[in-house]
Amino acid sequence: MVFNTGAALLDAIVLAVVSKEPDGTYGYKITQDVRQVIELSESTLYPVLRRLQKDECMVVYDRECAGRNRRYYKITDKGMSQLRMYVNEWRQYSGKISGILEGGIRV
Amino acid sequence: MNKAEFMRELERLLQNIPENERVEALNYYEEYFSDAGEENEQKVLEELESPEKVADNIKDGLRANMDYRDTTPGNGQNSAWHSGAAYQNGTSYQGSTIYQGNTFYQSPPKAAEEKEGMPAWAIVLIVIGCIIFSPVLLGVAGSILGALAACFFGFFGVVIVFGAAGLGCFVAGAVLLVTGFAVIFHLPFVGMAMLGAAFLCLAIGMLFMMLTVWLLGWALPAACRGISWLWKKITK
Repeated sequence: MVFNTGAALLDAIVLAVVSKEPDGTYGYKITQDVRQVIELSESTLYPVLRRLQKDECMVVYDRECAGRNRRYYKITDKGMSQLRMYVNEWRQYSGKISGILEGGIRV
Repeated sequence: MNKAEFMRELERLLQNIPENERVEALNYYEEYFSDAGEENEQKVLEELESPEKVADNIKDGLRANMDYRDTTPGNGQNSAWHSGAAYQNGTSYQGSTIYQGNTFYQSPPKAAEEKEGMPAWAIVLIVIGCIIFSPVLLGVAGSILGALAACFFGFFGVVIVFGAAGLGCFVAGAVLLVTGFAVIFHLPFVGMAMLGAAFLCLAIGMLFMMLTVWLLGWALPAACRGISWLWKKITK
């Protein structure tokens, strides 16, 4: 991947991934899902999850799983509105970039 | 290095952060290893690179969050978060291409923070202050309003008096004119004096009327402009 993923885009991707699961999802799974679309060092995600949690975009809860606790992350209403904002911004941004890149080549 | 060594080293490196943050982070990575499964332990260790890198990422995340908290109103200075420096000064992000300072990012959380506005205690203080000082405030506001009303109606009083004086002069002039014409044939001198007085009255009446019109047409707008200018000066 030659393009960098900025902090905002990473937040948007994480929020989108978490919002797909109505009951929430857990750290390892989020990491794997995000890594399907972008290259990401595994240690990068924890601070993002922690911050989104502190910003009240996500809430955490623990669920018993195979004899141990697993921490689940769930999107909040605030997180949803933040995600909608990101989606809107992304649509505009990516539209403009696509327009200028593809327009330049004229496929 | 195996998982246990990794976790021990990470715990040691996180000694200088708040305990709840340390516990959170250690739980997260403990869970992460468990979810990945024992068979993937080496792979995860390779992906995480080193405890140092993981610890640096955690600390940078905390720092970014602290800086961000510091930008709440009242702090007076725009700290690192605002300039994006919180994301750029960290050593850990240099290795990965993931985090580059992104100016766009700062706007949404800042807007959210601004919405909260003043801290709760300041609002409480203002409300209490308003309640305690309400008699004084009402008194002051009443006085100012009263003074303004007095000026306003005083001005109109003057205008009405001038107008009435003008009208009175006109009426007196008209009466004298008619009477003067009536008597001029059998009492010529009295009649002439009356006509003279009539024209004098009409002239004075005209003067008063001109004064009234001038007051209404020029002085009133000028006074309004003056008041609004004064108001702007006070509220600026």
